[in-house]
Amino acid sequence: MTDNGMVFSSGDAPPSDEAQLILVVEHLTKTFGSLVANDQVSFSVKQGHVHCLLGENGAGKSTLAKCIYGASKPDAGRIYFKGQEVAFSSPRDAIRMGIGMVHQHFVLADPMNAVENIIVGEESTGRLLNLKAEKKKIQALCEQYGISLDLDTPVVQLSVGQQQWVEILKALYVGVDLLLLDEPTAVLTPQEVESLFAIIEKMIKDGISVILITHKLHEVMNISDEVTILRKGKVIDTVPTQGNTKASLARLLVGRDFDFTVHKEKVDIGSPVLEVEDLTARRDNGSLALQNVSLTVHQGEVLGLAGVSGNGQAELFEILVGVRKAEKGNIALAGVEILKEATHNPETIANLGMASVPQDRLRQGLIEDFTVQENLILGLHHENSYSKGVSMNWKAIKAFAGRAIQQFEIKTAGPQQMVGQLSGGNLQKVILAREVSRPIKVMVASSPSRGLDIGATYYVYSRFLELLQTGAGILMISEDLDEIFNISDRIAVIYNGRIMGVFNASEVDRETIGLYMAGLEEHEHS
Amino acid sequence: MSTVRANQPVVPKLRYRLEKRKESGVLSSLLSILVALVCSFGITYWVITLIGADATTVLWAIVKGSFGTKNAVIDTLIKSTPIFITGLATVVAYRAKVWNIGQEGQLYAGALGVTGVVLLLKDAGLPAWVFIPTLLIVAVLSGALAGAIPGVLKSRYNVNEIIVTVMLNYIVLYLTTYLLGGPWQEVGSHYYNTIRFPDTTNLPLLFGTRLHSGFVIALLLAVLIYYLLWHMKVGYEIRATGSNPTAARFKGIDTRRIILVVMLLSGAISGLAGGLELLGVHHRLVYGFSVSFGFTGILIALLGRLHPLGVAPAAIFFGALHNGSSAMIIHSNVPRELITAIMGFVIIMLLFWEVVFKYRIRRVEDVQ
Repeated sequence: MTDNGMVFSSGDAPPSDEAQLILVVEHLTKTFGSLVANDQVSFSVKQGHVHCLLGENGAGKSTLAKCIYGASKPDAGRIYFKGQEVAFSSPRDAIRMGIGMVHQHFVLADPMNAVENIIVGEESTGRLLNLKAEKKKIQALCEQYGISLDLDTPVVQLSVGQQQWVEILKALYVGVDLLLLDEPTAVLTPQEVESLFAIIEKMIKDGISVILITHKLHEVMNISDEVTILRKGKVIDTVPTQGNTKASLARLLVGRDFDFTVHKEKVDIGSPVLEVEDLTARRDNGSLALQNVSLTVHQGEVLGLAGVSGNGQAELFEILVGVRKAEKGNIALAGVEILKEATHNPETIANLGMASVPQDRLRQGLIEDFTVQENLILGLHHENSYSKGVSMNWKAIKAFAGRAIQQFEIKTAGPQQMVGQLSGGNLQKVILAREVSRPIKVMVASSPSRGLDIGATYYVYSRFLELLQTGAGILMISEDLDEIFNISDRIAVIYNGRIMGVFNASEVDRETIGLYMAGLEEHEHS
Repeated sequence: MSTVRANQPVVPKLRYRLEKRKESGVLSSLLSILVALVCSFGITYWVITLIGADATTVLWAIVKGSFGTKNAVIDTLIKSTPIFITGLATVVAYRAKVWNIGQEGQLYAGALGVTGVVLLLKDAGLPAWVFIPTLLIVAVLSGALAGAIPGVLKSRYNVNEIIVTVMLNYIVLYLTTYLLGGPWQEVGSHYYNTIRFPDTTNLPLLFGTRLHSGFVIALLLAVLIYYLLWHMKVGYEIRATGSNPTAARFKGIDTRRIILVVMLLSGAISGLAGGLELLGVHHRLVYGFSVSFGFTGILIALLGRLHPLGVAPAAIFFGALHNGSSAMIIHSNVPRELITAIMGFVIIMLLFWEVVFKYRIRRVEDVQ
């Protein structure tokens, strides 16, 4: 690709003679009420390039992508696709023109298998479904792009990484010329990220252009040709990746020099606060989710539990917070046995000092059409501070919400705003504010930085490290090794419901952990 | 790259866009209802003309019949009372996304309970101030019992509440028919009815009119349910369960208990509607005393946007249509069924304009 792609024809004619530019966005503006999500955004994507949209949380990347994809209508501005001005009224139009998108939150029908999910909504199948023929087509695509996926399993049983393949296959199946990927690596193991990038490279070879929305600088450096940096809804710059460094991009991204190290003050490791012993549990379908799992979290330490999702982490989380029953084993929370009939419920466990940050914020942690203040007291609404007898004490709740919003820097119109209108990072802050609003002994967090940008991620980590100072212990479940290595003191690896090993974070490298995560190694843990 | 076109002339161009409102205010909600009413009025006018009647006369007859005189207003309020209460019963259940369709059966259950106790105690000589409260409690308990069956099945075994409540409607209705045709039938009557209840069971009347105190109870109940849903812990849990049962469960709300609570409450309120209707209007159990009060309650709750204070006007409006229909058939040859059709128009229009009003047209200046 040459740089003369930037020369536009004069006059009002669309830049149709620019064969090299597959997408041109000009002066796109999108507002939500008083919030300007995209402010006069202009950028263009060259044919056969990987173009990164890099930006902080709330910088307007997802909104911009949605406008391009037709899921959202810009207030003003123009979009040219393949040299033609387009104004999609729905994603359907975009798909027809050859634009595909893989969303940050997947949109799959859980009980249906991959084939059914991929072909849903496609007219090419005619009136009668020929699932066998479609499956063959999809298998061919899988081979072409080196994707190994069990097409007959209900997608709900696939790992998050595999569900993403399904989303990508869906786009490939329709035949896209431009694929938008919204934070695709947020949930992948290092090996999975590599295969994703391999797939992207194959797509580029096939002439497909890719827009990659991300906040991870090393990914930008790894895969992209060009990068457009967004900050607070505005385009800061579009630069070629070559000739830039992580540091130079970071400066553009946050508008100042950014320090990537987590400053971890030395905290004394104290007595055990969470002891999981010989825990065995089953999934809803009766298969074994956890087999004789033993883990110990001490005061003042972060125990990272690494593992590809779907290896029992979700069940472990659910047992710890009290919404799933265990088959056998013991769990002691600061010495109190919690698996007993009388204690094994979310309220009692929370009252004993367990805080939790679930992986899926909007499904497990928050109520989308409740206000910020209503969400901030979810689970705390029985406390005397927020209620008077059988009634709610809205005055006290509002005051508490005001303090939490200030203290946790939650970007919101106010305590009465619907939580569903907040961005991912702010959703996480609402959860954090709620969970640490009373003294806690253990924090169980599942992928706490999933989908968050640098700023929000480091904010979460710094809050976690503050918790350690108070004598709490943290169990952090994650499949993102960046996250695991960032703040863990010790790392346990889970595979197929079993603990494969426990390591001191300072004595182990990512590749080793990756091998244990894949079940290739196992050793006796202490 | 963003400055490429900076040198070109800026030609502002006006465009119009349809966009979804983030939040719809109370005002736009009221406006949508107004527009819907005007539209359904227009359709009704056209349909009456189509029948060959004089639309102005017919519509005027309905208005006069429902609000024209003091007595007409009183009758309208009497007719709106039972559907007001079943509407409230619906709000409680649907806020938790528990789809109770059994208001009709629960209302009958309340009426059956009241009748049973009246027949048992009719000669005990209880004073009204003991008898009436006792009977109202019986109505509430009987309704709650009818709600408990689907409630327990749903909360314990996750049995679909829609199927159970619909089937229970039939069971209670046929039980009523059996009782009225047999053991409870008034001796010598050719109709399906019991004896007249003793006068000590009559609800106190208001302002020296036929309006019974059931209407006031309905109003109080609306305020109570508003308070319950938005100011009580259990109401918070009900709304949380309805909006996101998973998150509610993760944060310690016993959603199974809430499902049961909601079915009990909804049944109890419907049962109360049945009891009040007997003690305030009919003074005996008679076949067909409920003109689909339970089902109308569902419509009213939906029209009132599942808000207790929205249910009140919706119920009075439907009560007025019911009441006006009597005047209409006296003053014209338009069939009574027209009223049902009007209700249909109103509902369709309300739902239609509710959606339309979720969007707004915005004039945008397209800077180019």
